[in-house]
Amino acid sequence: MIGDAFPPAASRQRAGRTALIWGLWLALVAVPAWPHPWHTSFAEIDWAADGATLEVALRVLPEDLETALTWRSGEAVVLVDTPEVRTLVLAYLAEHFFLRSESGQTLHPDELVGMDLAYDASWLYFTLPAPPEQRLYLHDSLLMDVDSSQTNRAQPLWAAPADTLLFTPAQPELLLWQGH
Amino acid sequence: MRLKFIDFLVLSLFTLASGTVAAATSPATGPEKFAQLEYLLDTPTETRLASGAPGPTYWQQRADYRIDVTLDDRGQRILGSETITYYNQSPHTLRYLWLQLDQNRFRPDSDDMLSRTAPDFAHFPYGSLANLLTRSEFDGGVDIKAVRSEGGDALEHTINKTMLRVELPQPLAAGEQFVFSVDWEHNIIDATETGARGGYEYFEEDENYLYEIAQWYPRMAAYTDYQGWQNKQFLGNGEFTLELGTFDVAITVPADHIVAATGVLQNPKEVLSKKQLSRYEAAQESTEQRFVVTPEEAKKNEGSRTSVAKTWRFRAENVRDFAFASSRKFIWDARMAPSGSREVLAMSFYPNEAEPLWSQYSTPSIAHTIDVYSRYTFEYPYPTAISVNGPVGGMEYPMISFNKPRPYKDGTYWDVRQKPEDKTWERSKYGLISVIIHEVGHNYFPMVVNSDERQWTWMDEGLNTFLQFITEQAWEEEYPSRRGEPEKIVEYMISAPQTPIMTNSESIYQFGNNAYAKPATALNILRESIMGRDLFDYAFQEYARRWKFKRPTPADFFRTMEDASAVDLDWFWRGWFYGTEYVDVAVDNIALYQLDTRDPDVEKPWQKAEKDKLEPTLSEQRNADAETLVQRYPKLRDFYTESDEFSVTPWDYAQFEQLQQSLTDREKALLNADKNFYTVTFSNIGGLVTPLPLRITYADGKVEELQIPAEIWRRNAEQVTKLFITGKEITGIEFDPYRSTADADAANNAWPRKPKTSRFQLFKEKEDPNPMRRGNKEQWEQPIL
Repeated sequence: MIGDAFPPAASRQRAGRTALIWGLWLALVAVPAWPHPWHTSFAEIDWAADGATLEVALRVLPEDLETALTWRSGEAVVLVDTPEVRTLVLAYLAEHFFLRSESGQTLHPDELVGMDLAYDASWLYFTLPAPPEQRLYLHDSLLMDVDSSQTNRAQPLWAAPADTLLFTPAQPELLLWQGH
Repeated sequence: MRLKFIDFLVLSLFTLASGTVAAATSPATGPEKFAQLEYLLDTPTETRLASGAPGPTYWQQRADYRIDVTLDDRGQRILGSETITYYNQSPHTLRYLWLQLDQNRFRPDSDDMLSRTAPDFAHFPYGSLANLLTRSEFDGGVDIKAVRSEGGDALEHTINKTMLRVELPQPLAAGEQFVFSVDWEHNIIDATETGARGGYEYFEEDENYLYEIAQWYPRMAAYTDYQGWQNKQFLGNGEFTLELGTFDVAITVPADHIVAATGVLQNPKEVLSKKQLSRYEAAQESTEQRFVVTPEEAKKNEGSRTSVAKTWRFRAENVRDFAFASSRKFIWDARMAPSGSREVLAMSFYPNEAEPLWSQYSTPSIAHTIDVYSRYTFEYPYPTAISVNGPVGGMEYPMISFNKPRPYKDGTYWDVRQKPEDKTWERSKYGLISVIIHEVGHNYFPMVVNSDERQWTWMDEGLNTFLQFITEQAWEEEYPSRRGEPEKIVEYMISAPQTPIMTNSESIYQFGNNAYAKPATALNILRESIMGRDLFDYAFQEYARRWKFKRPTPADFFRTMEDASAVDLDWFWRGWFYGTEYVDVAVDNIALYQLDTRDPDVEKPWQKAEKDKLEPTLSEQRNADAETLVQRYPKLRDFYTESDEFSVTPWDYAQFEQLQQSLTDREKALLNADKNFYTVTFSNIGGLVTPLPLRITYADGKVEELQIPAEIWRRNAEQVTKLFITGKEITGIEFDPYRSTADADAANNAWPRKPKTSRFQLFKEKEDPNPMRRGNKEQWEQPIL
């Protein structure tokens, strides 16, 4: 079965700061949704031939990724295929697109194989180490730091099309792989 | 399989080249999916006819506004006073009126703020911190100073969050009008930090503000025949439902500001310099774009600080709303643009920060939009069409729209700096063109076809996004449209949870996909694959014509599309607009039946050939060299040892002759027809019924394309078997070869199956993979810092 929320994440709270954060959130939600929202990403995920690596093709809105990289780096970033930008992208993916294994191990993308950058659909291609014998939870909070209405979908290619995973700010982590 | 003659007689009932083989037991899903909408639609009345047209008793209210507004450039505040003339054109008597106070959404206790659910704080958007701080410090909400009758008496009124109820001194009978005034003030929000539909942008380098002012005055709520007062609270997504009327608006701003607004400028001689006036008048005589305020003049104006004010006066007729923009930073270009037989003054206002992109693409995008949209709807009915660059990402108002994209600070933007061979995402250029097409296109839906946005977002956003796609594709070949092509909606269609398109605007899940992309794609599929362009375009234009300056409901749209085309589309509306299923059709099973002619000279050799096709079994292969008993002892041989089961005997001829004598000439001809009978089974895995566009490949290399209408699913919507009769051998069948149905899984679309390669694998197999380019600096561009 895929689609369960990852249990440990729900318990990570800092009770002492709840009131302050809640107040800030009330302020945030006063911000209207972008008049014409389009904040989604889509990932195709499949096992590599070695059986211990996941290959990911990830489609993002280039301007949203550019905004996220700019915020993260503290200076304006233009999304072009250069070593500098690749480093930024990989670091961003490490924070927002990673696996958590049943044993508690966090597995980050290890190689950005390439990028196809186009206005209507920009794709990032990268790999993740993945122990197939374990249950694996996918954390996909991509671009939720740019817009609170961001939703991300991931399609495990070993599953039926209808079993697409849907990640939201309220549920950024879902079971991806049952384990052998 | 070889058909017996009795089988043939059954098949011969099919007089066409193909037919449908019904399943033995048909689940009820077919009739359900093809059931008429009936109870799902409003009951037709003489106000809204069963044909989808407005009826003889159609009515709608009207509101005229006279507004005086002052823009406080020091305090970023609006101070306004309005006189509203409300015309009760309904057949009902009204005891009170409702107005919308949209700015109250920015109050900390608004329903919008309080009704949002909490996020996962572990992944709190750090990028939104600036938004948080700005909003937490913003003193939002409208301050109603007075509500008075025409005679100056105070009117009782009640504010319920984003709605204001005004008590009428006397009930307002049908056909009567009521004049009253409202004075108000509110602070203007920083739209760069909050993403609002209107607000200001502050430019630190030259200490100037740019204002885009919207939802800024108390506006009449709509009173309708189907809803009564449309006074649902504004929660953020469901935009605006408004009455048409005439606006006379006086906007007082610092004298060095340039103002763009809904309507026609009434006093250009008072607010423009002689040079500006001359250029403004010249622009109205030419289709050649020219500056009214040049970039150099706008740059110089940034340093101006006047204490003098000017009042710009605008008049707009038959509009449902009014918005304006003001800044001393504005460049202003203009030209006349044709829309059918009319000419429209197309204008753009933008700061130098938007250059060089805006002077090249903004006004041409306006002109292109009204040209293309007019062909599919009606001539653009207003005298002006304006695009303003500022902090608002993209928002529409009558005659004026706010559009955000700008080039980078060094003035470069994508599609200019890229090398020709390096196709990349050209963000700013196409982002700008697309958003202008979309926002200017909104003049048609919902500014003129005045649908109820608060209730149905898709009625304007979906229809507008559909025409946006058509307009983008008419801009240039391979325009990178983000919405419209069926394959782009698949990921959303298979996702969960979803809501149907027919969901109230505030309850929609995955808003952009649901209300923009899915209806736009549905209409594109309807046009290209179901109705055809001629029938669709006629019906769509009829809908626009019928409801121009009127307020349609979904039923009016659905009914008109059928009424004007003679195509029963209830199954389509039911599946695409009332449901959340998706298209996934699998080509599951193919069987070949050939006719048993009973002619022994034909059948016996065919039977032998079929047997010869069989590979010997392993035992037969391994025993091939072994001597058998019969070989060792020939005396054991007899008739049956020597006989050939495939040889033709006199008895066979006699049987055939007997058959021939029993057949009519017509039956004999059919028997001699050399035909193959293929049955192909299609499974509807996704649930959403769809036509079956097919490509059939024959052994001789020829290809045939045909489309089976969606009605094939009307009795059994889960699985159907289709018969194809052909004289040739079929070597392949493919469903949806042009990706025209939004089919979710192409891997099961073909027989024989085509292996699906993952996108990752395709990328790795590219001839010129990106990693190779990393070694060649000529292929790079350095980031702009």
